[in-house]
Amino acid sequence: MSLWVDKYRPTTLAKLDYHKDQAAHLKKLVQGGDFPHLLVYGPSGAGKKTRVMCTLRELYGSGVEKLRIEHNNFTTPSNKKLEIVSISSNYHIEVNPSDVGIQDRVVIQELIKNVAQVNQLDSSTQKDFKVVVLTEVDRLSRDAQHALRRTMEKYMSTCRLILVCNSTSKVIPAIRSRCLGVRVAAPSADEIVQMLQTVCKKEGLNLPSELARRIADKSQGNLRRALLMCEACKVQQYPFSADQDVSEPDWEVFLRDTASMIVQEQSPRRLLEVRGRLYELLSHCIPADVIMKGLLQELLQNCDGELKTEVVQSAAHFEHRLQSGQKAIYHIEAFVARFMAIYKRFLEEGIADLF
Amino acid sequence: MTFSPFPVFRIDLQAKPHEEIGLTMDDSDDDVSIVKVTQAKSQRKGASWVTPSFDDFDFEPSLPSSKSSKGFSQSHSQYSQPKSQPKKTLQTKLSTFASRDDFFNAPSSSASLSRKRQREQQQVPAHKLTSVVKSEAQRRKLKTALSTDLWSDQYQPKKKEDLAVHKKKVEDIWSWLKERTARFTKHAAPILLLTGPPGTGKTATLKILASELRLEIQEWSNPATAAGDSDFKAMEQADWSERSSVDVYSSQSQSSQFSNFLLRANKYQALQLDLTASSTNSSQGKFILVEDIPNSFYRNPEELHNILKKYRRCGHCPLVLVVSDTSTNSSNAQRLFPPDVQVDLRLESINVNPVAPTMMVKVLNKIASQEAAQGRFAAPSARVVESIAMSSAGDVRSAINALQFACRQDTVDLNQLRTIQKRLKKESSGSGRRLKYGSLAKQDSGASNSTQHEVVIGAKDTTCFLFHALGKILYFKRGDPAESGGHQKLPAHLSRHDRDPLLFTPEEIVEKTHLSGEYFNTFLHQNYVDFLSSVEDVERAAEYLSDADLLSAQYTSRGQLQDYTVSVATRGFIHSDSSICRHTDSRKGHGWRPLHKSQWFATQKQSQQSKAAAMRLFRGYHWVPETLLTEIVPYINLTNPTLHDPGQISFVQNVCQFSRSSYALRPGLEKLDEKSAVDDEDDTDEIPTASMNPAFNASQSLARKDNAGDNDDNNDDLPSSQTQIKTAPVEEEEEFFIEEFDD
Repeated sequence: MSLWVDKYRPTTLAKLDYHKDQAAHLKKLVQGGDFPHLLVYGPSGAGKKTRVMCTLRELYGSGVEKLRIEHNNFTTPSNKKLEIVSISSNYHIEVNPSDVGIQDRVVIQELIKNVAQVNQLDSSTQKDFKVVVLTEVDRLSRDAQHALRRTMEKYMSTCRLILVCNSTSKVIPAIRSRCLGVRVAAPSADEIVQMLQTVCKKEGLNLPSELARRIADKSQGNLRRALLMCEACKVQQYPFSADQDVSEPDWEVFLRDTASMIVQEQSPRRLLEVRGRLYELLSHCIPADVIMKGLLQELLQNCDGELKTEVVQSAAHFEHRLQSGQKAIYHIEAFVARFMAIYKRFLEEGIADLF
Repeated sequence: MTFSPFPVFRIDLQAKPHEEIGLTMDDSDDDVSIVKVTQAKSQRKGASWVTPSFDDFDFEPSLPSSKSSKGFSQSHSQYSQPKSQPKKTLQTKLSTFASRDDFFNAPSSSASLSRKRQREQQQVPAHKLTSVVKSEAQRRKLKTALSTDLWSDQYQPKKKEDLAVHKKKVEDIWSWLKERTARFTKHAAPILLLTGPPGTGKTATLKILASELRLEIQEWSNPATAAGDSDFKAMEQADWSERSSVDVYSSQSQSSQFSNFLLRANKYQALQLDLTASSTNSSQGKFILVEDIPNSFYRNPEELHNILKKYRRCGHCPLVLVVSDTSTNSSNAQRLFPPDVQVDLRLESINVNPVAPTMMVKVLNKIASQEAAQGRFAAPSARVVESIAMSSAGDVRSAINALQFACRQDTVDLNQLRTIQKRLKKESSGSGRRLKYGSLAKQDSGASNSTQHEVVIGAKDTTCFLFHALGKILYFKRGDPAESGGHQKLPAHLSRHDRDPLLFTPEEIVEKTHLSGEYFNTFLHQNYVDFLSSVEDVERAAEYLSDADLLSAQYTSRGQLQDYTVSVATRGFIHSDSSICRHTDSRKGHGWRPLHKSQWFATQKQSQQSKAAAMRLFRGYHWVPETLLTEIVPYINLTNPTLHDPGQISFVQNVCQFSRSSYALRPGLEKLDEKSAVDDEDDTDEIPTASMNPAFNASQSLARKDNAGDNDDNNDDLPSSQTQIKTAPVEEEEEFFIEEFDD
């Protein structure tokens, strides 16, 4: 049994539930014959990949749904063997180059070359290009992005790229200018509620609108998460009650506890405890930037208005270092220490003012 | 002939036709063309060069090819006197055989043979000196006159009192040897691990104590080469025609030789080679000494552990392992015997410290005065001796060698020594100076202009274990600014950053650990928080560490910036400790604190493994890893995990399990021991995604299945790769081994 997220994923542009005018644009784009490189961006869970898959289907018909998983092997110039998993149909190939870390440049160049060198078999009935879908483009290294720029131009005749990322800020301008940007905004709360209702109806369930609203609020515009939450709620308790708990993943709870530990006490000893928990989060594969973001969100709720700017500024400072540095723990810990210092000073001043 | 180690191969040339000689020669080595000549020649003179006098000699026809071929391939004129040629080769052959007797120590060797060997052994030095020297004293005199001997050999300690090792350590070893040889429990052969830096007198102590306790030492020495062995074995093969297949070496592996040695030494007495000694020395026991641990054990220590386990069960006498802490960044002893193995084998370990400077000076002075008394060298000044002692870092052997070098007529006037004397004079003018190895370096950091005089003859490159280096940084000391002249106060508006000068240079200390800067930083990062008392200090130190990490982030410039990262991190940490700004400040409430190993690498490794496992298990879902691990997998855990296959279920449970107790104190910390072996890990940011090891997954899902109900322990249930010691079967095998040696 698959998750609802997979089960009720729309497969054609016509079936998309929100951003319908955008869907219409995409349809026109495909029908227009020529098709530029696309850069699809938007927050997580907004439906970027769903849209990409719908577009591909519009391009090639139902053939793109016959997917197969392939292991591609590459050798770097330094003779290191790389293996990357790609998902492909006869018409497209989807790959996440950031899987191979800093060697992503090789993967990008080789993979696109391999795809682009072979023409479409039957170009009379099909489009005369293939599509390469690259996900998590914002996690690509600089080298790889520059390599991509050249490759894009070179194989324009036989191959189109669809780049998917969360934010364009980490994509170099040269690539941004070569692509048609398609922003997929997060669905509004109302749209999410509507979606949840539709899915529940198809499942034969009765979802109280209060619960749907609460789930939508909690999901923060992430439709995937909303559906997952809804499914978890169903497992937890059915029939639904309007005031039941909306369960969250364990790591979020854990992270929230960690944040409250920081607020409770500011001492070196506490910092060590926090560090232990940070290590635990990291070893459970929670990305460092997600931890940083989560911590900031929780900490800000405990902050006075005047502190917020300072805290956010230091968070931005260390988040930037996190991106360019190597060992995430240094930077997260430095942020925690900084927050502790700021917060302690604030408390002490507050007490001083009191007397 | 009662017994012969050599294949009995008799050639009765007179009885055999010449063709057969040709044939045998043909079979031998590559001298086919030569053989033909021989054949032709031997038809004429064959009978004449083998005289009947050789008849009853065991003739081994494998003439060394260099000699024989020379003999044969010469022109005809050489063949005009062939009578002397073969005789000579035969004789040389015999002498090589005689010298090979050493290899042959099977118990069945006859008395006559061993006597013969003794005679030879006595003759060897006589040959060397070209004149027959009879008395021991005379010979020594001759030797010293040549004065090529190292003093370190010449002045080997003879008595317990002469040892430079600390009294207490000597006592320890003494009592151990005494107790263990006297009292002996079955199936628990005592094993002692003697560690310490090289040249601190470990072996010397053992040898002296053994002679004082009248114990016999059986020492393992690594077989020099396999070649000598196999040659000998080849000769044992009686069939001459197989001589050509010498290349099939039937030598044993080092490790099996070692285990055989242990079993044999355990079972049999050493051969009494020295008749005079054996009559006087009625030994009261023996122990086995292993100093050269075969190299192959460094590659897989498990093998050694197994052998020792075996030995512990069936050994009859104490075993002493001597391991020097030579290596730069990791201790050999730790690598060969990790703590858990030490407990497992019930190894007792005694660590010999570097020789104390005062003791070293005493030893050096004694030798110098003895040499001076013999009037060959002028005794070096006390300062020179002192400086040699201090630069030796506790290595007696190298100190004595350095002394010998310094005493030579042609080196005394070396410039360096004079500068050292000058410096030491300056130094000793300071108040009550204690001898300490670090003191030279300390002085340098104070007055940095005199650093270039550091080189002393035979100075040792001192290394520092990570533990000590870390300790030096974390428990840093400041000096009095008045003493080191060049220290300037900061202006008033910066006065809060003003600190007294340090008594050491952090960069030097880190350099001595031979670890990369980044790697050192991870350890500093793991431990620094404990040493700071206020959050503000921690904040500053944390930011410095973050800076340091940023410096080395760029792949291209990492090589150059590595050194700076250490500076930033260590000096940043030291600076940010605002409680110790002055040299008079003392640490409050800081007792000794345990240091810990960095968790970062373990964390990194685990997250990579789970990521790889996740991508593999949930391949069909094709999510990007981040979404998969932060959203999909946690919710699968919440919804209905039972609908997936067991591997997925166990993985999901594992990944989503966090320690429940919100105040759990740092779980899974590994303590950093004094001599912990640390391997400098390679760049960890090269994420080895290619190594999605299926073994990990398989074992993981298996292991997880077992403790599916076990919720609390999430991190540590790696596949139980620890070898379970099964006693019974090994013991059986053991008995079998001994049987084999009995016959």
